Amino acid sequence: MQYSEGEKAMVGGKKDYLKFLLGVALVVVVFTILGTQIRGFLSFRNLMNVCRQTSIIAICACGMTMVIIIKGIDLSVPGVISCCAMINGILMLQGWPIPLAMLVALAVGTAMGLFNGAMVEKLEIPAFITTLVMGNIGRGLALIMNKGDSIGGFPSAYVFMGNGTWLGIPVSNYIMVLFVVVTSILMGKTRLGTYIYALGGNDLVVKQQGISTSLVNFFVFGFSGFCAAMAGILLSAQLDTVHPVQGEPYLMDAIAGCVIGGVNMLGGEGKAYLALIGALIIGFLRNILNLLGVHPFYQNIFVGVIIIVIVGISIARKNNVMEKNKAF
Amino acid sequence: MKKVLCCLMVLACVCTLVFAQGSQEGTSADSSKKQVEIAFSLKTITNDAFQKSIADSIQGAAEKAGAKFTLVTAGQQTAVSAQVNQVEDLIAKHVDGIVLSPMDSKAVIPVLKKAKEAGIPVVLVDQTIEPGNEDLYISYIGTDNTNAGKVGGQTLAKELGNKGNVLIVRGANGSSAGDQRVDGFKTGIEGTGLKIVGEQPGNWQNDTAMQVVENMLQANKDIQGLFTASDVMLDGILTALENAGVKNVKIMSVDGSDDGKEMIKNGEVFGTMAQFPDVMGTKAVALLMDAIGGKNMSATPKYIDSGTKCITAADL
Amino acid sequence: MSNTRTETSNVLVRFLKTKGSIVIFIVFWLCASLFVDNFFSLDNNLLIIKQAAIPVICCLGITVVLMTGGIDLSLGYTIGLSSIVVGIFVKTLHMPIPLSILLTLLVGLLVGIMNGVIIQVLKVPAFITTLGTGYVIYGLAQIVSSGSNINRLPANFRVVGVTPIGGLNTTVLIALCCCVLFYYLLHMSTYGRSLQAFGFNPNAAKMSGIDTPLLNISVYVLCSVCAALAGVLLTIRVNCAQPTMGNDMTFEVITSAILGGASLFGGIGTVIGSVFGVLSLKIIENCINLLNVSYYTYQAIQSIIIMLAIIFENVKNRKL
Repeated sequence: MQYSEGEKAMVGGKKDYLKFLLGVALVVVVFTILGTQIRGFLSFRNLMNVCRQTSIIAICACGMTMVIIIKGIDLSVPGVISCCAMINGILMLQGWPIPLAMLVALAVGTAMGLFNGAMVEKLEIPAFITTLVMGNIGRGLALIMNKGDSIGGFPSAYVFMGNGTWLGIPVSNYIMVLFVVVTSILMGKTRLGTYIYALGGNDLVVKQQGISTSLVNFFVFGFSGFCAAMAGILLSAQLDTVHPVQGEPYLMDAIAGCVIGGVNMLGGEGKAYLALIGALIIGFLRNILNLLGVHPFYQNIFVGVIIIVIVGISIARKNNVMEKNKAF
Repeated sequence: MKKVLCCLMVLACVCTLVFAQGSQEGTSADSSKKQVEIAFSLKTITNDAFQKSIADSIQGAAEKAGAKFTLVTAGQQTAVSAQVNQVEDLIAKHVDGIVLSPMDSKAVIPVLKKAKEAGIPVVLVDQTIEPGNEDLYISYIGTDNTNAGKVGGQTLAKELGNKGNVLIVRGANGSSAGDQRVDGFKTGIEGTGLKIVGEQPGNWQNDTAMQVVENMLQANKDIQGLFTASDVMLDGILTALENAGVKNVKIMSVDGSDDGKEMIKNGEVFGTMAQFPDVMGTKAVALLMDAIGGKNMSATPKYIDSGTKCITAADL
Repeated sequence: MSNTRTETSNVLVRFLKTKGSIVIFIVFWLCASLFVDNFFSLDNNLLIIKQAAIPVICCLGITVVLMTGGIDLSLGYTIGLSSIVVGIFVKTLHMPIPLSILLTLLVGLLVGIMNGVIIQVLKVPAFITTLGTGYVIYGLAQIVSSGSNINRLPANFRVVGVTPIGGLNTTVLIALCCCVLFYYLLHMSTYGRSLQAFGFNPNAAKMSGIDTPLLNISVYVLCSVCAALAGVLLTIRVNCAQPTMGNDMTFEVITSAILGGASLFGGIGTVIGSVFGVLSLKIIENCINLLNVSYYTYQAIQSIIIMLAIIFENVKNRKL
């Protein structure tokens, strides 16, 4: 793409809006084509279903977006999902009121996240390894709590949260949207949000400005833990089960969703609602592959290639813009 | 350069999609003659000869009945929710019948309720769901895993003369079939003189099974018997025993795969609790075709035992 | 008088700082020998070395990748692919053993080139690239194997890995050779210095004349070839070719490398560190099995021990 002098100045303004419209148009076209080719794809039921399935990924992606922006990563998501869902499940089965059980589980998830933040902030241990091990501890705890067994048979109000609908739309979708909205407001409209972006850009500058990096670190990892715990609670509501290792598949999907949604793995860049779109792309991709009846062996190949291609294209475009805007 | 590589990748994607479409069974675009579609949802057929046999037998039976066969696998041990998502997608796709091997006895209940609402008949194979939900499926055809373990334990105890040290190699954490077999085995050897001196998970993988057996043998080389939750781990277990120079261990396994039978013939393994995946497959398809054809299925027994048979060298 | 004392303590401090993994290993080993029955025997210790041999090979590969600030999440899947590929060559196609192994290593080479090119030329971050290629490789392994294993491998194939030497075997010897090779590469040649420079500051490295594209691609090639070699050896070890072989090994060797002192940000990594990182991990697993720790508690216990070890490593680094 050749940029003229004038167009260079427009980057960030009208050009962005045009690109957005183009993106929407592309999605509409693709969906229409797929809808005619695949039986059942465009049905309201299917679309809502995919959103419901994707809500778990999307909620994780909210927390993950923040973490990636500050140049970290949170690999503890699967462990927190399993562990907190198990805590929630056990408490509910023992007769605790649902909101209270959920509160405890969310608190534990947040605490695990805060622990991650402490390790990253105070001991300067890289987020990769501390969250990786923390996740394993979480998974281990989930196994211990019920001796490796799954538990289920939860109160119907809880199951309704995962499977019920309100005004025809699954409750899970509302929760997902709520999380994305809250995250977007936090990132875009609060002082904390600017600190987060700043930390992702240049932490030296942040320190010089007197912004407390520990506050940001603690908050971001704690929030990610909170999101993972909520995702776990929601997942178990959908399945009416807590399976001790149910969280595993969600890590890579959440990260892939974030990256496809434009969150920069080098830090400093990303928006929660774009991560939502990335998560939806992953969800719809799997849905399409299932509906097409693509043999499971080929599904893996397809998902892998798509992830690389989408990210590759978005990076190529970004590099193009950057190169054209370089001074020399 | 980058653009060219990107284009090549997109091309690769498209080709894969076209190729993968072609790998489906039956014709997809022929909508004038509506072919019945039967789907089988399970954990995986990779590295699992037993599950693969069920899939093959369902495919064979379905195609013989003129139906289209679709296979959906969830992936690894932990992809419980992936299976639920896949079944939901099958419902959205309006398949005519579903054979299901649930990865978790409770997690699939909500989605089976949706299948019932959508009018899609379901038959369970190999693993069942929580009791109390019998209205959600026509029948469960499977091996009684607990019983298989129990009979295996009793047979092994008799062979060992009711005394001796035994190691147990479990399946993966969270696998109900594996857990049931081991629990059954423990019941089977209750009251005999058999003592469990080591019990670790092999995760259905040969390399893991080998490592845990090697380490358990370090603690105690005086072993007379070994129980493993599946034939798939036998290679690793046998190699571990061989390396440690521990001989004359009577091994009892579960599955009855061809590999397992081969090892019994060679005298390396004492016995295996055979399962009958072909029975599961053919029966399941038969029931589904009846249901799709409109037959009233309420008289079908809720549990059909596909049979367990202890196979030792004497039977081969 | 005081000079020698400070000198000694300086040397000690430096040793502790750079060889923290050896300290951790010694602590683990001592605790295990004292408190765990059956640990302290020649047999058991040789066993641990044998069990560590294959992960060490992978860990060497992932260490060089980490030194560039990258990562390879496709490692475990490459092991699986090479396992089934070598099994097919050797048993199904009855090809000569040396050729089969060579071709399998070639597969690893191709995987590494694919990873390296996508990361270097297309500039897709290593995390995403290897995540994607991992899926693709897994799918390929499944297709090639049709989901099945191949066992009962020919004896002349198994000889390559399990011929006993002293109390150890040829696999350990091969792992040792890899260690020597990597030691030379990392610590005695310009390659290692280039890696460090690239890891700390890619731009500076480029401007000082280092061929950074080639360097970056080379580490992924090294890593995938190591994974392919590990796949061959693992197949021999368990006497079974499986498409899912070694899939769990990716995070295991990354953790070992970190325990061994490698830095995720790039620039730091040693052969000795990685080797002792793997040994430390294997000691934990060995003890867990020896103590017959309950199957559902071992995950938590193992992870907590690793967490403590990493905290120790970091605290030590900061205090000194």
